[in-house]
Amino acid sequence: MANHHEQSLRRGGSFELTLERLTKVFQAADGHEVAAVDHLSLRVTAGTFLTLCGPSGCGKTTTLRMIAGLETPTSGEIYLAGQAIARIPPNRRNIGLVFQSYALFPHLTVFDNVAYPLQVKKEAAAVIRREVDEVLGLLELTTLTQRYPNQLSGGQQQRVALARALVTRPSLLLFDEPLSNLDARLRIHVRSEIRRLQKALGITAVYVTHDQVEAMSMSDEIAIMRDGKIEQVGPPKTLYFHPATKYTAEFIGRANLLPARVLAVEGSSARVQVFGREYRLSLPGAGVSPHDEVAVMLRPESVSLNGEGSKDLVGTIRQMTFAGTTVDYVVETDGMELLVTELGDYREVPLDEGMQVQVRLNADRMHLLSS
Amino acid sequence: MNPTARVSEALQRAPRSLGGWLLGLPLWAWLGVFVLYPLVSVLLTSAGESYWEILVAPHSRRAIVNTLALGATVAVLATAVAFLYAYTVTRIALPKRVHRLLHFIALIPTVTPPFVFGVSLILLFGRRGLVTHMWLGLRGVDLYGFPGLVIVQVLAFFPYAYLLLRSLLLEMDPTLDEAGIVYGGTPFYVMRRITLRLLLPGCASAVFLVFTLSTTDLGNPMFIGGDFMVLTSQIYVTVIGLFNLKAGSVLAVALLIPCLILLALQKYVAARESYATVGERAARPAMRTADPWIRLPLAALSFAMAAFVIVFYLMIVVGASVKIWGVNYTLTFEHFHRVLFESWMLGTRAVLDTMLLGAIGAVVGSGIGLLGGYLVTCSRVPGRHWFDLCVTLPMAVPGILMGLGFSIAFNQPPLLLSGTAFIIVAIFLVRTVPYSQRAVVAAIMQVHKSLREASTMAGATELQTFRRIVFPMIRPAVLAGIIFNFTRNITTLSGVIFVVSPRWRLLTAAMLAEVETGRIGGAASLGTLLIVVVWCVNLLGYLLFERKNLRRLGA
Repeated sequence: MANHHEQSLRRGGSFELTLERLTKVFQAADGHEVAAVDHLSLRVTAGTFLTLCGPSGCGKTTTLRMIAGLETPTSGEIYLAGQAIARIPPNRRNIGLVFQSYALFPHLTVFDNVAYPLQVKKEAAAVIRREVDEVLGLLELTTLTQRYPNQLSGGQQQRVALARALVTRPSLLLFDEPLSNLDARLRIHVRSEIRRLQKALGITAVYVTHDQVEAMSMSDEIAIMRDGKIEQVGPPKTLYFHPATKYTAEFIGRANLLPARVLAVEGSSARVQVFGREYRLSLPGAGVSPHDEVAVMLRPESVSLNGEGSKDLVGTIRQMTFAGTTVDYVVETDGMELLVTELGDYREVPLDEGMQVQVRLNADRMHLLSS
Repeated sequence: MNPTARVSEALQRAPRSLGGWLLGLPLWAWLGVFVLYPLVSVLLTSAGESYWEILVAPHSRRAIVNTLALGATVAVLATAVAFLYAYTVTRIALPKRVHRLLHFIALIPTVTPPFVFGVSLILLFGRRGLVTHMWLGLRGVDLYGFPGLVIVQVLAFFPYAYLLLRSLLLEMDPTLDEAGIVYGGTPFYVMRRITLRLLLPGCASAVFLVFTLSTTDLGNPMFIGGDFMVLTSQIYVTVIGLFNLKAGSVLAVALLIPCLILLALQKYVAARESYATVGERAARPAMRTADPWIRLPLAALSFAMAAFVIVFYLMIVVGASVKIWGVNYTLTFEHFHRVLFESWMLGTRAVLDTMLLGAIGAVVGSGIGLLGGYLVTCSRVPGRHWFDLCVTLPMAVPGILMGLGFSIAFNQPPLLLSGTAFIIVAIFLVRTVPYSQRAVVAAIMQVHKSLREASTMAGATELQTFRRIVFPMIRPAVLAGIIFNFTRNITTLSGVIFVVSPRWRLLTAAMLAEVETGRIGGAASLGTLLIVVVWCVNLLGYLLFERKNLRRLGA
């Protein structure tokens, strides 16, 4: 059943979204002008699920609201399917937006909430009936059509909001932190549900969240934002293993940033010294030159304790956090603290706080950061 | 639980309850003497009469029908205007200063006695009015009666509806409007189908509120009602003109009935559906539409309303400063001079008495409200919920009924208070304490419960918690309440008209006397003085409390 619905909804099609030097300047309370979004350029290819991710105040929501048309850009342009839309009022853009609070109309039933976008377009009643039924079927809401929003659970409200966003077969789907009001378990479920739908419908989607786990588990591409600008764009794996900057490295996942010195640059790789040992690492995008003080990123799971083979360092466990699947350690070594993550504690002699351990760094996973 | 523990718990509790009782008893006594006793007195006075005969008498029937017709017309019109005005202020793209100015102008009538607008109507649309007589050249034409009352009461009372609807519009989840727009609605469509629909319960509340204000207004029907008698003016004429206390009491009790029904309806609607507060609290202000089709007409209407308010307001000052309205427009201070300094300085005394008694009433009223609010929210005194109900009961009682009750109850032993300042202050208190207490209760509710609990956990008693945690946080509300009380005290007419005496004079009553003797210039100059006093005190209050408050909030 669901598959049939997905097939017919597909007619919406997928379109490319381009932001060109998009800027939004706000007047702060003290009279100063603040650029919430600062000459931001971004391309979202057709059918891609892109997440704007960053801490609060980085401009991600403002960017989303400009795409939706709820904020007017100070300068710059937005192209959807090649058409400039920045000056088109929001009610004529045909973009679906799922609000953080869902923004379901409390005085309308589920059916009327979902029918609203079609009713305002003055579609024929029969068409409205058909389209709404279809999208309600797709989201498994058929049994709830006559309920009011306050009679629904959080997850159900979420699905109604999604149905309303999809009913007009929009050219673009936007999400403004839609999962922040759900409990942790439901969040994981809805996450995969949204992703499955988006893929099945092939619709281009822009998703805003500050939660990097959410971003990584849903997206084709993530754009890390910082102070109204884009720090780095790329698929989740690229950002995780090959972040371009310290900022990205620390925002996506947890990271050890080891102080390092460049000894020599040889072709596409560099010899660097970390904790007194030499490693040969491939060069990052931006250039580094000999004698530069740089940082080498090593994820906590690429550090092992008391393992076989050579040891690099000796350290003391300062903190141990048991989380079931994994155990996190903070190991003090050479005057800095290393984060270490291991799979559950299966050791014969369990490690504990205060113990001395041998530390091994996985050289294959070291990643040279340019800044 | 073992016996020792039970005893120690009882010991812990005892002092608290005792303290509460000590505070509670005088308040209960106060309620009994100054709220219930006067009301019962009116009821007893009216009881001997044949209610039915008085109520079906032609003049009473006419007054009842007129009251309802006027109330309904004014309520619907004022609410409609108020919605459009509030929508302009909260949802239409205009410069921030314009929004602030519109809001400020709408506040003016709330600190002005409504009958000031009545006097202005006489000046503008009376037989010798500026518009009717001078500009249009009409002879013997006026807008007295129903049309004039509608104009004046809409102007005087729409701000109350506006303030209610504005706060609802500000609280409404802004994403609902946004969703309405994003999913293809035009601003006009969203205004009708989303915003207005969600605001309907609020609009109903506003209608009932304005209806009550209209039916309990005495000044305007007296000033400009002409032959159009409503219940309040009928009561006044019956009691003062015909000396028929019994018939007056019957009519006053009859006036109570629609007021109680309206209050009940208002509560019912408010309790039933309040969509406006569903969802997220407004974290971000709502979108303001720049769509010319909706912006221009709404802005035009709001500016027109604001202009009307200003013109009516200024007219009082002009009317006070020219020689003979409609005949000789030479500037003069003669009216001020006459009302202030002639006839044994009666006007000056009225100004001073009004300020003195109004101020005493305001401060004491806030004190009682604070005490009552504390008892209702923070203490465990038995019967505190009943107490809240009884204190707030006078909100539903028309001022003229309360005033009549006072004049009957305290004109005879055991409590012979007629002619004293005390009776005037007492009626001020009865009329303001409900609002003070409500404001205090609301302010205390704003203080998060966990703060009080944290204080209790830290070992503080209830009284300590109130004094050291709650009171400092609600102090701005209490101080603002004093200003509000003062304003209300010195602008009321219906409440004091039966208790003023030659020994203690009040400006509002003096104004009525001037109008009744046809001295519009004198009435206008007394009105001007009243306005000046109100503005000075409100400005002072603003400078002392509000600004400091705003600064603390970082605005």
